[in-house]
Amino acid sequence: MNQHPINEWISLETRRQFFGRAAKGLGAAAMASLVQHPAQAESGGVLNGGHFPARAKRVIWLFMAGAPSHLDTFDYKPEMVDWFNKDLPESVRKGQRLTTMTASQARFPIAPSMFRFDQYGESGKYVSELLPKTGSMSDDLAFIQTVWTEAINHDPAITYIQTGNQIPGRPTLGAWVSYGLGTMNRNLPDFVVLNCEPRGQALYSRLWGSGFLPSVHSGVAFRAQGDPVLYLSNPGGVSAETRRLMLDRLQAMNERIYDEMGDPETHTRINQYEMAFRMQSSVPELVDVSGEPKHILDMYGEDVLKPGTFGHNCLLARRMAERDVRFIQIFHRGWDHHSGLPENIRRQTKEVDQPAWALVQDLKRRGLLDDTLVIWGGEFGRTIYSQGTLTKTNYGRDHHPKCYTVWMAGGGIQGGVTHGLTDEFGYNIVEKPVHIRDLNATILHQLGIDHKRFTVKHRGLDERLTGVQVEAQPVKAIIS
Amino acid sequence: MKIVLLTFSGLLLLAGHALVYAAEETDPEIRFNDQIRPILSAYCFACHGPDSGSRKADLRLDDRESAIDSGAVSPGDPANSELISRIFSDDPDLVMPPPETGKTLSNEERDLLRRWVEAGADWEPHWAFIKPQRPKLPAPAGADTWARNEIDLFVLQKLHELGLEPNGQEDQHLLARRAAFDLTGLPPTPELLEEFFSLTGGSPAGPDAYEQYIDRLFASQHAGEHRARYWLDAARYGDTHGMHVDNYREIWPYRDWVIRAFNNNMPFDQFVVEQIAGDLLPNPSLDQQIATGFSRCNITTSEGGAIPEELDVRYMVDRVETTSTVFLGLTAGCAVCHDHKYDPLSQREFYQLGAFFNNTTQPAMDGNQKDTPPVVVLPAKEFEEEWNQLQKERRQLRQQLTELSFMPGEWWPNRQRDARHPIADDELLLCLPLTEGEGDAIELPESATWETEHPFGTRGVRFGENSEFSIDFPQLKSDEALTISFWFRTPDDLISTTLFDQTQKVAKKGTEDKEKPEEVTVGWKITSGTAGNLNFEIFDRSGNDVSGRLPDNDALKPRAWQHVCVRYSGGQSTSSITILLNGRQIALRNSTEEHIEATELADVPLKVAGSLPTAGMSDVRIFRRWVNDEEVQLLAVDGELRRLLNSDVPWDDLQPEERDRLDHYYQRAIRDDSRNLSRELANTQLRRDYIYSRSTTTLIMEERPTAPRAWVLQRGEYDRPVDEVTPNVPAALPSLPSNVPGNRLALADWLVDPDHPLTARVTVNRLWQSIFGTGLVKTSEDFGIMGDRPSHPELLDWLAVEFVESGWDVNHMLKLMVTSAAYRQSCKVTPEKLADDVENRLLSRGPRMRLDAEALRDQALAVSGLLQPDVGGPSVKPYQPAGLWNVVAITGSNTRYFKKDTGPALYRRSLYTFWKRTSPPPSMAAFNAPTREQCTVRRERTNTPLQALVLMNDPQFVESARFLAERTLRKFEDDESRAKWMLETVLCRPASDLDVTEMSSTAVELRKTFQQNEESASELVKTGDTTPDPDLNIADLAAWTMVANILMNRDDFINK
Repeated sequence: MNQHPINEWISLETRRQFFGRAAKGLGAAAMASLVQHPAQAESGGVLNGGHFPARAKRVIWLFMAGAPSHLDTFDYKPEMVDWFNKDLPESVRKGQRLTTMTASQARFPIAPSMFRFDQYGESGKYVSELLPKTGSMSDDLAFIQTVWTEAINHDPAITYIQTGNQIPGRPTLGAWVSYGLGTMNRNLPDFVVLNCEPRGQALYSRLWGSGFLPSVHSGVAFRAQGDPVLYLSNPGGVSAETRRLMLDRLQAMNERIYDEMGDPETHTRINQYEMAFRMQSSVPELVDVSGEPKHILDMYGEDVLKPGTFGHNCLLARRMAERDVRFIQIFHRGWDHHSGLPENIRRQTKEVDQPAWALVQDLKRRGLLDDTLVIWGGEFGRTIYSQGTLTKTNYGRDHHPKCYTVWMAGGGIQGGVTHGLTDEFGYNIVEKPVHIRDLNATILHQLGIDHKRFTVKHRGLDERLTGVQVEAQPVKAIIS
Repeated sequence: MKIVLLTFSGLLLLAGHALVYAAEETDPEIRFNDQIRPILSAYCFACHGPDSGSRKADLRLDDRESAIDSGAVSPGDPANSELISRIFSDDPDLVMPPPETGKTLSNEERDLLRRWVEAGADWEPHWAFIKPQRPKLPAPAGADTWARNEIDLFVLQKLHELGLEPNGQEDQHLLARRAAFDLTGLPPTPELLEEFFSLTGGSPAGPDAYEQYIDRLFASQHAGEHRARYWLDAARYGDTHGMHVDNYREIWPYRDWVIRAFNNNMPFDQFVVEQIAGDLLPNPSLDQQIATGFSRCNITTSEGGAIPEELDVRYMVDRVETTSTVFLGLTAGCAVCHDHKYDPLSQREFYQLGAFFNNTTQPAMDGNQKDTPPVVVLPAKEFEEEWNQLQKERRQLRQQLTELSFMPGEWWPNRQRDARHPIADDELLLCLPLTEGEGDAIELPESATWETEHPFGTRGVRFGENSEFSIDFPQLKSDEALTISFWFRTPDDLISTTLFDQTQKVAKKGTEDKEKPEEVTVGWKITSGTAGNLNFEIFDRSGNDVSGRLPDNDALKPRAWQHVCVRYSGGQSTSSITILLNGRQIALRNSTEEHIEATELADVPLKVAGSLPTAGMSDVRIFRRWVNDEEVQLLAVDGELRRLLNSDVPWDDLQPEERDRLDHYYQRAIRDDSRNLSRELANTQLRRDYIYSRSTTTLIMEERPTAPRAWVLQRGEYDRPVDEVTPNVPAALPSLPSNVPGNRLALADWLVDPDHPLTARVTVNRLWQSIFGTGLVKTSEDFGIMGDRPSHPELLDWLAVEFVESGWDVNHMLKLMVTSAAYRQSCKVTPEKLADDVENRLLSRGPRMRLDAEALRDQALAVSGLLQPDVGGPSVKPYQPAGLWNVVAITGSNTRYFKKDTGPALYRRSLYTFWKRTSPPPSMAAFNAPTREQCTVRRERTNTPLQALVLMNDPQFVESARFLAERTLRKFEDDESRAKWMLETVLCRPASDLDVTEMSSTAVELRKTFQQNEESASELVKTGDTTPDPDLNIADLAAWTMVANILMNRDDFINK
């Protein structure tokens, strides 16, 4: 497809040349409108570049939907071995509310992680044997072990971390960022979502919605099946030349309509059709990984060529970062391990470990990691006590909102840092709690945004991502 | 200082605002609501406003008395007013607002506040809380030649104030199209247009022609559909529950009720009352109950682990927010956690409003079922009569049962001690005590042992390896009832296993005679999974099956004896299956309602206990009848009953619960009259269930018998109740009458009280918004202090009063709007007008804006001739790209896999499109259709490249283009005529010569391309489910399809 003359032409055409052909009809309309509306053609976020110099220009959030167990991945609790099948002391649980799935359990027997933890790098960070590649880059990562939330069920919790509120209707982080900072690539959306294969807990389109912000800031969910962007392809039998011809005639008529009616929206529309046309080549070019060299493909693991896998999506995320997509979020599903955790988490970690590592390495070697913030984590943690069957090699864990681990890398984040401490049971936070609002404030901070000053009037309130009432704080300790 | 109350002055009427305090030396230039309140709310109210929680220094500036008492304001004396000295202070510790807020008053603002205090510091209540009065009509110059009704007087007055003149009249074709979209959401039909222009004789229409045309639009059943579409956004209508599993929810009869209400032009007050409280009206009709679906449209969940109390609060909050946004135009949501910072709505008042909605019989967990109670049943036509008869019969039987006289314990001295069965044994097909020494001897597997931990002290069998055994069993039918009751001791570790199995492989129905018949399983079985999810399944001979499965959170417990009863009513549906554990019915995890055919089942012996090591079983009884709930409860305590019956304890020495249990047993199992009545009742239940599973249900509201109440929740947290409150309305608004019970009906009546300051204003404003694009109050969801001020306050009040006095006549109001001169202006805009009235808030031109998502799709279907105009019915699933639902859905959701409809369902109006809330229809979402997860009264109107992609490439638009091309080609031979007709059909007006020439030459050019590549042509015309006309030349058709595609992307097609 890339070899097709018209695509070649589209990708080679600089803006100047593009409009230079106005005489032939092509782009004449577009040029006229761009001349009249220069602001609309350029980036234009409401923050005018942010509140202070940004450390990160873009964000890639590897979202582990369903909530991975922090106890079997990053939060090492060696003392628990001696506690196998003993009851979690009431002094630790402190009447903490439980989901109704385990609230009626007669006992809360402790399930120590069955996995070996190894120390890595200069920082000596303990990481479970499930994530050796991640462990090997510990010195580039900041582990926040004390992230917490109030929500104890998936739907409210994932809505909460994405939008700052458990109740649907608020804009998501990506939408806020797009709204605040605007676009860096006019041919691609600012906020892109990549979903992995359906498995386990649900997702909701609100998780990349724009809430009360203008809907142009909604995340565009790229698809593994069919068109990567909805309705991107021309109908069968319609070539790019036919589409171009159709557009030229359309734009000419729309110009006449503008002349008659004088409605500036008509010109905006003419622009949007041109942008749509450009997306018809920029998006296929973006998702076409056939030009990636073998050694790069190998890095991302065996699934890299299979659309919809985490490996493939990590590679796409890198290609998007290169093209300055502002906010990229990958949703990897299937982390809700109420029972049979060891078997399930082996599969999950196998899928994410290498690609996540590859993404960080790939960004690094291209010099992109410096200004790309990479985040890995889910919506809450999991209980130290077992839900259901407990043996040394089989156990389940219920939802645990009081602490869990998220790692960050790049974008001005210090490597080799472990922030915060949980108790020996991985149940309560001992020091340096980081609420999910603090986490979001940190992400905004790295993008040069003061979350307190990033407000939008909605229904009489100065709404912000981090809530109108509670004071969130960026985690300054992990910033380099 | 003297304060004069100007309540009797004509000024009051002119201003439209009551209760204006004024001092003698009133500065005529300063008006509190216009100039002062905006400053105070922007800079002061956050700390010195209505919210007592965040109020600093105990000072409030939203209330005159408090402000004066605290010394902040001394009317007429700025020098002695703390407010003034603080705002002018240089001292960073004293100056207001404090520097850390980052807010600074401008010099003008400071000066204004000073002058206001000097002039006497008048306060006005917020304009929207004052009952609207009909203002005096203005008389702007030129009104006699321009104005057509009262609206125009206000509009013209305002234009003149700003030195603007209205536009001339709109082109009649454009106007006719605009009005058709605004009233029906569709382009005008050629017939309608023809009629309109024959009335006008082709010349600019006289008032009569246009009004008759408008009346014809109102008479169309599409008018109600269009109005309903706006309302469904406000009501947050959707076809799924909206959270987590997001299963199908059946509530479309409510949607159809809304359409009917608008088509009948139901008075708006009635419309409100029936939706908020139809169930509480005397003898509510079915329709009035359906209407209460308004409060059932909120999103719900059944997520395992969710806490019911928390959900109850969420649902209540949503209902208050929705009611308050839709009817009051107030953003109540802020008051969930604390007093509203700007509007006079305290946290306590929020929960008082909540109490109205906090008394429903609805369970917190929706059960992932389509018919989460309470519901009403709309029996299918063929069952209607029988259904009503059944309901009557059942009422009578219940009545008779309660009327039987009975003395507790009267039967005890004469009891029969060795009752073999606690319930009647008719249709008992199998009775296996499986207790040592009881019943007939049967061959058990060798490894079986006897278990003594069985409740009630009897010994059940415990299985070892190779536990399975077979028993002769009659052949059953799928339209007969079946009840399987047994005690079950779960294995030590829950394993996947089959407890009962009477299935066999047979040739699939219809393939018996084929050489290689297809094989299907027929019969029934009970299995259990590793999570203890017991599952009953019954298969017919055509490859269908229905099943009922225990949900995770109510599954079998490991290592325990429990009584299990599985019942199948013979109703051949998923809902014909019920499972009871220990006598308690469990809500099953039935995702969709499936059906099976009436057929003979398997003709093989029954296999029992397949692979059940360590499990145990006893007292297996299988009946070919529906054993009713009470009988099951008796079976579940049978051992206990037998122990009691055989004891010699005198009646009075029994425990109270033992006496209850025994009396219950006696009445239901022994005594003839009561036993027979309850059996009869159970039999009607079967038929009821049969009809139910084949009928439509819809969610409604229903009150609990107790008085409604709620709790003020600290910071809005469900587990931190502070104070109990009863239903009431906010003090800043008119009060509830004292002589009525505080329930939803009282709330509904209060909302539509003619004295209410908000409901009428908020409603006419939304109607205005739907016609003119922007409300007179732009923030149509917020009439509070932080909302926008109306662009034409007097006009808004005039319309509100007119609305109430017309008898809440919606169509009357719409007609006023669309027949006004303001509406009938040309929508052309000059750079000068754009500069002075960029958003057209002043109505200096006619409304022109992008059509909403639904109207765009409906228009394409309509002009192409594909539109299927039926009104109402279940939602439909037109084209949607594959995989969108699957990529977000949880395993097991019944909306995980999207299955496109076929035939006419693809071409229904867009308001019938199935709305899955976690993945709404993508082509509509691209055009700002909301997700319907919460109430939306104002949609955005963006302009994006994704919209261009939809209109150019979405199969439903491409198919429309091709269908239109087919019609065009069949009608005309020559390209010019084709171009002309197509342009006129698409745009509903005469085509310009230039457009015609250009389109016909485009067709020529495209035809050449497609002639060179017929394969492309045939691929293009294949788009969509309809088959292209084989008699047409394929290159020709492809070329004209593309021309239609161009026209359907024109700016004047996308805009109204």
